[in-house]
Amino acid sequence: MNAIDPNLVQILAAVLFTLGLAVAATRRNIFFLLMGVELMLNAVNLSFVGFARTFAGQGSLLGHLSPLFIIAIAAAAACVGLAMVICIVRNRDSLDSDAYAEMKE
Amino acid sequence: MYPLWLIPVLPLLGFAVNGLLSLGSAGSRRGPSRGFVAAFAVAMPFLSFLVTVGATALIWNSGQAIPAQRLWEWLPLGVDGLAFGLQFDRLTALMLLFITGIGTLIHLYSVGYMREDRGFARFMAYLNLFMASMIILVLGDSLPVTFLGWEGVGLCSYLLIGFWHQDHANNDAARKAFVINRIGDLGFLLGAFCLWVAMGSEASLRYSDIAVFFQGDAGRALAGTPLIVAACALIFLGCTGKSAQLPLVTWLPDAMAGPTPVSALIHAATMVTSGIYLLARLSDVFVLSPQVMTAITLIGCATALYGAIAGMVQWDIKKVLAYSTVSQLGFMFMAVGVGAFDVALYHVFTHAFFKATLFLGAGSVIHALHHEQDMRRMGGLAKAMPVTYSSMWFGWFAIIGLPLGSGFMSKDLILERLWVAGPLGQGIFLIALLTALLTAIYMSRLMYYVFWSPSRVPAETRAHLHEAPFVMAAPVLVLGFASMVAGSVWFGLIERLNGFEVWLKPVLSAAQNVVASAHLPDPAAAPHDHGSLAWVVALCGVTAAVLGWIIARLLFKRGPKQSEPAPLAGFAATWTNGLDRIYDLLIVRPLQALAWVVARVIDQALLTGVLKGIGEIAGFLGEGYATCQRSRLRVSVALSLIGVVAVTAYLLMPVLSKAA
Repeated sequence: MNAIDPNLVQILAAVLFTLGLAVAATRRNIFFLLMGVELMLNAVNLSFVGFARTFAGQGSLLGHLSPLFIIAIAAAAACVGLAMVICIVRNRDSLDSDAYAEMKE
Repeated sequence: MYPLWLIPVLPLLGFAVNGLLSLGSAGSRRGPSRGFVAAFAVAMPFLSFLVTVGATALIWNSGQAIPAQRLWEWLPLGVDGLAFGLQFDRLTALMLLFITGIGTLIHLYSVGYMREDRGFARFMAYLNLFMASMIILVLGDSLPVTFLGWEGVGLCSYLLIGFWHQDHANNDAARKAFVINRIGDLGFLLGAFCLWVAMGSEASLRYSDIAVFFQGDAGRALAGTPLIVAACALIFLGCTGKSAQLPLVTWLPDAMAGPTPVSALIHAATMVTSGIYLLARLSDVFVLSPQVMTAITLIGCATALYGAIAGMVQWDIKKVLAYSTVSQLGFMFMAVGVGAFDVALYHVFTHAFFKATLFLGAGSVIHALHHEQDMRRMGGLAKAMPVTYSSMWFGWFAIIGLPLGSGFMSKDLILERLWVAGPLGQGIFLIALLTALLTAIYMSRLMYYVFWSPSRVPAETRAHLHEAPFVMAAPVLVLGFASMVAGSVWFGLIERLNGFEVWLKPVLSAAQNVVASAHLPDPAAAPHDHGSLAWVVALCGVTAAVLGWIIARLLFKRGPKQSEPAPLAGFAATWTNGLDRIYDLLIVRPLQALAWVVARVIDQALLTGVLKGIGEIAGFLGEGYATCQRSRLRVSVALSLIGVVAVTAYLLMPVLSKAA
């Protein structure tokens, strides 16, 4: 079985994270914003697993476990986030994140 | 063990019962049963009086004081702690006998005077509380216990002056008495601290310890040191507050706003004499500071003269008596100042009788005239109120010093002691004699205006004129009689008749010997012409009294010129308010100015400025930051990204520079 170059794994993770960030920062649709956040979380998961493979040893178990927790918590966070989005949308009839600008004042 | 604790506890019980009754019946229109309240309130001081008589009999028979009784541990002071202790020596016996005796009579009188008042139970409760406090004051075996009573009587004085609290003037008078007394109380406390420091930190402030210390060599060595002088001066300040001497005098005339029995009990017979009691109790300390003793004489003299002159121009019958009290207290302080503690106490004793008589008699007059206090609406009352008139006649006879009245005995002894106290004393003697003359004039003026001049009572009041009821007339008559015979316990003109002096000798002789040896370096060369001097002084006193009476007869026989009361004007109005104006100018105004500076400059300008400035800065920074905070989510994300990049770059900088 061919070992994958660990650098490639980390580069892929970085690319995914940047994509997620770009989505979150540029799209105005709230659903895209949530998707961007999920993408960033999974990029971090990938990075964890990649490092766990690269530095195999006693501590590497943590690298395998953390993504499991992150997935569970991200699922919960997504639930809450979607629920909030639905509430907001019902309130405003808009998916545009720029419409919610009252927090400033 | 003789139950000394019963003496203060009995009136305290009366206070508790009547106080609870008064509180419990607050909702009812009529209040609790008058009969029960009256019986209980009068019985308690009377039982105290009986216990006091028993204790006095005990020390009469055994010839020595009842040892101090320590009731419970109280303060961690001295070697073995200071207990809440009571002591009953000859001085206590003297004070307690007339406090509880006259107190009981005045309670009885109050039953008649205050019967119709809605607050009857409350009034009797306060009077009982006053009795308990006053008893603790004189029965305490140490300065702290006395201070407890000292504060207690001040509180009761405040409560009773402002008893008719619906009237704002009464509340003002009560507050004034309270505040001025507080100044004196501060002096008492600081003086006690000084004394404690002087005696060393092992001292306990028990009177027995104070006497032993200051009669011993260690204490005598402290004579005239600044610490002792400060202690004496501060304690004397306390006494001027409680006993209404210059400069803390003005509260006493205003205190006449209270019901008349209060004026008789608290502001004439008992509380105001507690200053003299304290000076006598601490006589061993005071004789070690001749400067303060001189100051006491001078202040007493000035106060006596001030009170007498002020008494001349009053129209309110109670105000005349109030200024007369001030003046008589001045006499007592004069005597204390020349080291004649026993004579001062003798005057306290006789004054308690005749001044209580005069006040209660005035109360009967006011009662009969439906609360009329202005002497311009009185006159010719001798026939309508024969019992009151004859009682007040006894009181008048005693206070102006006509021969064989009690005031004659004590006042002449004061004059005599002043005369033998060196050149200063002889100067004071002349002023005291002038004051005695003025006393005779203003007291005779009162008698002329109230009893001897043609009647100016309005017709509708005259129809209802009545002699005081029995419960009021009887105590006044008893006191009037007592003010005639109370002087028989010490007759200065006859050598053997000095039971009073002998009685107090064990308590006061040590201090008085110190003063006497200062005046006369050789005790053997005591004035051998004592007898003839006494006769000359007595002649002077009687001349002053008779002359004052004659002058008053010439001036006031026909009654006041205008019968309709007009507001005081000219000298009469400004004289007695002069002191208030001086206080206003010297103390109140500067304090107000200071308060203004603190409020406006320090508080509003400085403190508020700094605090507001801090708030402004935070607000300003917040405003600036808020402009950076874009509300759009995308921008926020982008900004936080920039922040993360910046932080990461900063953290990586050392690594990168090393790599480079």
